Amino acid sequence: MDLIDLLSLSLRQLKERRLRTALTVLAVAVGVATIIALSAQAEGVSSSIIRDLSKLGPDVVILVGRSGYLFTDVDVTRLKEFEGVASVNQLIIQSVRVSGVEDAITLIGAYSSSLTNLVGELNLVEGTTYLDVPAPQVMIGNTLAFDANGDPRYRSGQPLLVTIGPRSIVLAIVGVLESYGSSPIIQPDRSIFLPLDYVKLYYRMTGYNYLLLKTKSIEQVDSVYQLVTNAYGSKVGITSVKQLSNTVSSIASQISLLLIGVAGTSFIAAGLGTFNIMMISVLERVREIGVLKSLGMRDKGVLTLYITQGLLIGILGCFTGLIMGVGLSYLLPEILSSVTWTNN
Amino acid sequence: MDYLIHTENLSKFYDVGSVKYNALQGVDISVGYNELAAIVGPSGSGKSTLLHLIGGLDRPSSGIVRVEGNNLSELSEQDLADYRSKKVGFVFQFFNLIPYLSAQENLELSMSIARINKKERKTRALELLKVFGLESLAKKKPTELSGGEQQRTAIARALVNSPSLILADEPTGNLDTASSIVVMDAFRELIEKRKVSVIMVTHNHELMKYCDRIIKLRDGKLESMEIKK
Repeated sequence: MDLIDLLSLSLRQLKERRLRTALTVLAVAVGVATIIALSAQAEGVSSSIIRDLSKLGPDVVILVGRSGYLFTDVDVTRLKEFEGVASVNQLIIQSVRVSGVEDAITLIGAYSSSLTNLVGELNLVEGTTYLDVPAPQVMIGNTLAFDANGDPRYRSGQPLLVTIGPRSIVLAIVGVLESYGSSPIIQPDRSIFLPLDYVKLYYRMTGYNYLLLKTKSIEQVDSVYQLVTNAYGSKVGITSVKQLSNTVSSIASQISLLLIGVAGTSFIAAGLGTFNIMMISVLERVREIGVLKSLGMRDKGVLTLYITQGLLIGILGCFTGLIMGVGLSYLLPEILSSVTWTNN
Repeated sequence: MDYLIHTENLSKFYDVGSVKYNALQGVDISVGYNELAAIVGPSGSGKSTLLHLIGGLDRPSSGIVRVEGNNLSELSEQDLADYRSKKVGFVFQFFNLIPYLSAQENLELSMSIARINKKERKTRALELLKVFGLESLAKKKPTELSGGEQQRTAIARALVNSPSLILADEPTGNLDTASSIVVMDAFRELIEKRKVSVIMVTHNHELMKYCDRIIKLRDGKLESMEIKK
């Protein structure tokens, strides 16, 4: 029996048990689709986090003062002299309340020149960047400026009432940022940006609770990290984007492995199911196998016939699973985000 | 005298658990060319086992089956498959047509196993169906045919590769008297026109009048072999 006749006979046998074949194909397809969809999700989440982290640049090291430690201008000068450090950006980051917005908002005091290091490219929907003078000017994030329906809540030129601790102050909005998405350390969309000198003056602070170091090259990140650790010890929390990316990649790989393991289990279950169905088919067709043998088919030929059927189910299942998996990969984020939104 | 089939001290044992079951013990039979031979005997006498050994569906535990002088035990699996495909045609009590194939496709399947080209298959299948008066039923599935039509299709299938021997296991066991006579007439006609030999297993003593040789088995042993012509 040649290959075409073998395929034709296999297809006829599968067609004879349409429902069983369809269910077996579906079982394989579900296994394949699950592997594809879950791998895609894991890879997507990992890429998304790493992309967000990369907004700061892979050459950035972030310093956070622990237990109320504030970095002074002396620290800034000292750090600038560390080998491999290209620039030091001072930041004051606090949690505040803004009139008309329920959740806490992040206030970021920074020199305007530091903003690009902090959020990447600075794009404004309207207005301009504030001036580095100790005046009550503010740039606001996109989520603050617009409500859930996209209607403007605050506009450039309007006053913004901000509650800082027990006191409230009125700031003049000079600019509205474009929607930015998530970013490490801060969420620009839910933040307000003020001139650093004004924040220092207002809080009567002599230092900064965050410093953002740019290294001269990515290769020097580790050495700068080490220098800072040696110099400040446990007084300061140190994080590098490179380190964060590595950590995220490592966690994502582990999650990905776990998900693939789970999906793989369902794939193995589908495989065993197919094997079981093929075994049942053989047992059901003992008489037919006898007839085929009486017509001159060899044992090998009978085996090939049933293996071909298993292969056809596998190929059809994989192809269907591939299409389902790609579809699911696109749909799953939508479904998950809608579930998250409902929970909120 | 030259025989088409000749067995020497043919035995077949089956291990059923720890018990050895003797299906056939030291059977010596012969069947000549262009003969219609019947194997008769009570249930469990070894009729079907003998038929399977002659048909190369099973191998003997000891003894020899010679077909046209060739010892089947010496054939490789491939050669034995070729023997079943080209030299022998099987007919069964329950017809054993492949249910999802049409009558024509059932005939073509037999030829596809024998690696006969597609065009030739179709021509030969239709020719044979015509011989058995089944041409108009060529596209019908076995379930759409009557018992007699199914058995005639099965006989046509057994003949597609022009075998020299037809082995029939109770071919009329599932048919009424009229259909049984049609089948027996068909066998006689095959012997006369196509020069084949037919060996059939039967319980039906009425059919023995059509046969040239009666082989009687009992408890796996040859009881008698009667030659009528």
